[in-house]
Amino acid sequence: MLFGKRDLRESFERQAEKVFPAVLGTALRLTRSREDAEDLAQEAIVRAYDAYDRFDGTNFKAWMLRIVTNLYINRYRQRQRGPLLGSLEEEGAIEPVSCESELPDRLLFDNAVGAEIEDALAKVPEDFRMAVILSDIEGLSYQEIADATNVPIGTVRSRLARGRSILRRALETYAIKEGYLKQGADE
Amino acid sequence: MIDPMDLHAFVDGELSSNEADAVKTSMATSPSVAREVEAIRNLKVGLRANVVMPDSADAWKACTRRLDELDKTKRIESLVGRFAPAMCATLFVGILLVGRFSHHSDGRNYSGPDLARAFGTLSTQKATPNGLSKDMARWEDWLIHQSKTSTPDHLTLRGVKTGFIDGIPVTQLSARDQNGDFKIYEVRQPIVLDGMQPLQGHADLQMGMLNGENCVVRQQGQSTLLIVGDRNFEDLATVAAQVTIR
Repeated sequence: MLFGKRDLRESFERQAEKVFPAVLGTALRLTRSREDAEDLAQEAIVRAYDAYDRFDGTNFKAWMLRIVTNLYINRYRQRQRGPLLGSLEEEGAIEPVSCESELPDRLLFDNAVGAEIEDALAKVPEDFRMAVILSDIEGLSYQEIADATNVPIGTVRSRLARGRSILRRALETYAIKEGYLKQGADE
Repeated sequence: MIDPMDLHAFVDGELSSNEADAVKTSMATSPSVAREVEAIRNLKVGLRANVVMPDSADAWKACTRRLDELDKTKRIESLVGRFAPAMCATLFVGILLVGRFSHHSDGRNYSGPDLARAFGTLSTQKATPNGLSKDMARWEDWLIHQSKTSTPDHLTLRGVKTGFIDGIPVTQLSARDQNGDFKIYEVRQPIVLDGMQPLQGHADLQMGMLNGENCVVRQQGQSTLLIVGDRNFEDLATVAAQVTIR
């Protein structure tokens, strides 16, 4: 019995350690606070360990990120006051990601350091940011994102499209502000 | 007309082959669609390649410490859960044994109320056709002994009761002297009465309360003598000094 538990712990730790940077990174991008992110990640690890015997064995990373996201939605987001920006902008036309000036996308990333990209990402409303993080940074499928965020796949598609569009605009704004792009280059 | 969300789904590899083919056809005929797909792809790739990976080593160590604590707690809970009935039963039996041992371990340790209740069950001795009962005769003998050392009317025997407490023979003598009534109990086995304390100036006596009255106790041979009365301990000690069980 004890050996079984030790094996379980070792197996869990082996898998969890591999995905922990993604867990902490996601927590950090959601909470935007190192302290909250560490608390959230730690709580997610404990919850996952507690439920590890019920893990279906398919995609551990997606399972962990679902726990983190659910914890964040249920706990941390409840602390926030006022309406969520993301919820207000679910409807309406989807802006294209590309711009008419045919601005080379590499310019956006070549000149910005990681922290600046993180800042631009932080400007994306939360629900959209969550979808972008889980898809573009962590590589989850639409179904996995839908499971993690408890929304239909159609909503995931919509949030991703809107989130990427807003992120692109935020990166452009940053590039213009820093002088990498000329004002009005994309107008 | 291609749905803009389909272009994102195409880049994400979430379209069926038919849907993907439709997007590819649209890309071939429309530069704006091709540009949009390229922009989405570049954003996706650029984002993934440029985000900051947080330093997670210390946070992971904190997690493993939490897991250690969780394991420890689970082990204890499991142990307690598995052995709880046995532990409870052992504790219960232990309490019973300790209680019995400290109370009646050898039939000689009593609380004041228990002993007073037991004394209440003693029955009055009557004279036999052949004269006094053995106990009455013995106490009469004691009174005679008293009369030799005190004034004859100093002490009066008012009655004798006998009986058993926990199988131990007990005799109760009700007597009166110039200070009033009092009782002498002779328990024919050494007993200990809870809460008794040494009586200063009387090495062989202990003092305490029995049934709301003062009481002094003396061990004498294989018997215990209790003198109980509504008077001070010194008076009771004086009576005790005069009494000898023969």
